[in-house]
Amino acid sequence: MSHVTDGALHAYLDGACDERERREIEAHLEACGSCRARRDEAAAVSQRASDLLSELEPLSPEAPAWREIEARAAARRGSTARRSRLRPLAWAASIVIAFGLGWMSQSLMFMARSPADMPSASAPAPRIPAPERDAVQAGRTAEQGIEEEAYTDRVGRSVGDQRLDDLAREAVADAARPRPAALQKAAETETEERASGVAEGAATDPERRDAPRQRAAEPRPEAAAAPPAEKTEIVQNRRRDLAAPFAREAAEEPSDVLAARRAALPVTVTEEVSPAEFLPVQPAEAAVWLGAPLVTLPELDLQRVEVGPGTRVDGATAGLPLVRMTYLDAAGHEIVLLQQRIGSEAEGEGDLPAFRIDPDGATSYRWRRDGYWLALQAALSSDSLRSLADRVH
Amino acid sequence: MDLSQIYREHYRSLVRFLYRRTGDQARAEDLAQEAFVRALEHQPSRPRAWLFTVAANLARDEGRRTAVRRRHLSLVKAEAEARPPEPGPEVALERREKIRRVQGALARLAERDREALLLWEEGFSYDEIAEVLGLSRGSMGTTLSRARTRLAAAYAELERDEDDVARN
Repeated sequence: MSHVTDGALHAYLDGACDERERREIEAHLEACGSCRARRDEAAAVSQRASDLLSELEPLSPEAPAWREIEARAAARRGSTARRSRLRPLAWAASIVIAFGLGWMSQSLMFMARSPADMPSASAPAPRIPAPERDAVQAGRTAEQGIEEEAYTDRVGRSVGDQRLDDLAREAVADAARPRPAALQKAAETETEERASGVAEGAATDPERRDAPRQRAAEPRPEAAAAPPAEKTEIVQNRRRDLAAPFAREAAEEPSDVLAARRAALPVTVTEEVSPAEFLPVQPAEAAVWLGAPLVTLPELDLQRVEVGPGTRVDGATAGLPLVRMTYLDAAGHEIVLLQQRIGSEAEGEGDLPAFRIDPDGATSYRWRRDGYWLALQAALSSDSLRSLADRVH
Repeated sequence: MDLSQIYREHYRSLVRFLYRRTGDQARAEDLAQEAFVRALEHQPSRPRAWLFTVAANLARDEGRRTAVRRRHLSLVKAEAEARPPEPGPEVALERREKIRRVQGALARLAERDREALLLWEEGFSYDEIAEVLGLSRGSMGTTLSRARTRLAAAYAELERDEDDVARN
């Protein structure tokens, strides 16, 4: 005779069973003393939980008048409209300034160089003077800014934002006219230098060795005219913040050093085996926390590895460390891979794999593998997430 | 759909859910009002479920930005002290301690389990909880069973640990 599960007992006590289930459970309870005892225990636990939660009653919350909520919504709509009207002006000013910088840098370059200064096959690659490097970098960040705009398309855009896109694309197309050979060579040279720097870093870090260097080595398109200053700064800051903890070139540490570091990390009041907050760590240390080798997305660009408490993530288990790996795909979209050991069989049952779609449009996909639960979070379609999950190894 | 009526009927419930979720009444009220402001912008077809979904997301985002558990302990203590005076100082102290332990026990639940339990306490059905949290309806019984069992066990453990400390 199979007994009634705890989940079914609670559903029965909550009145959430359909007629057939209810009859089956009641028939079993009549015949099974141990399940009757478990039913009574479940009822007591359910009542106990309600009693405990009833202690958490807020002081009488006085709801503001509805018109205040309406006013707040109206004010937000107004400020959004004002920003949309001002943005094209800011874009236009930024484009004019950057065009001017680009024009001046080209002028300076042609004035300084003579035919004898042009690079040859046997001469070493020239260093790019600062004004030209800035123009090339401005072009790259313009492209990143446009990619950032493409990303925000996924979460909804206003008419003003669409206008910004049009202006940006016009600027890129305008700058894509054939460029003097010297400036093109300078851009390619800087690309090669950056690629070789990435290769050196990857050689000392086994995680980065697997990261695709091809993307870094590809020459960027022609420098565009100006990105809007505000968006460039936002994208640059975001990339810098993501990459900063991972930019340190560290050799692998011995396991006893890792264990000592782990012991020295702060712990929460209620969790004794996890950091209190998400902390950036090297992949080898994250694997120690996890208790297993990390799963990875080798096709994407790993930005950051962190370890934190399970309670900081929806559906994760309190008391077990959670590893969070942040990637960027080729379009610059952020993709987060989470992994945590499944604490008990009870946690592993039921509803996996599963999708979750948040009201802001972000999607997460969660599944189990070999005693661990994994989750991918990104502003992608369900099919794309599932496809990406197949490439996790 | 009249959102002002939804507001009158469910504002207090939403604040209670957020207060239990965050431990901070002022923040709970602010997040509840924010959820209604967003509802005015989006005009959801099923406002109650939508409001609690947004509220749960706002609370989750809030938790990622701050050390919520430590704030729980200090804020719960401050709010307990702001409550109407209880008869006798010992009773008042005992109640404050109990509130702190309940908050601590809640913090030990997995986020999804905690939210499912809080939504159930706000009168949501299994179908509605599954919709708000994006889970399968079939797993609700197991989720609530686990949440209730852990809450009770965590509270008992906290109570026991504090008694041990007091005796020693």
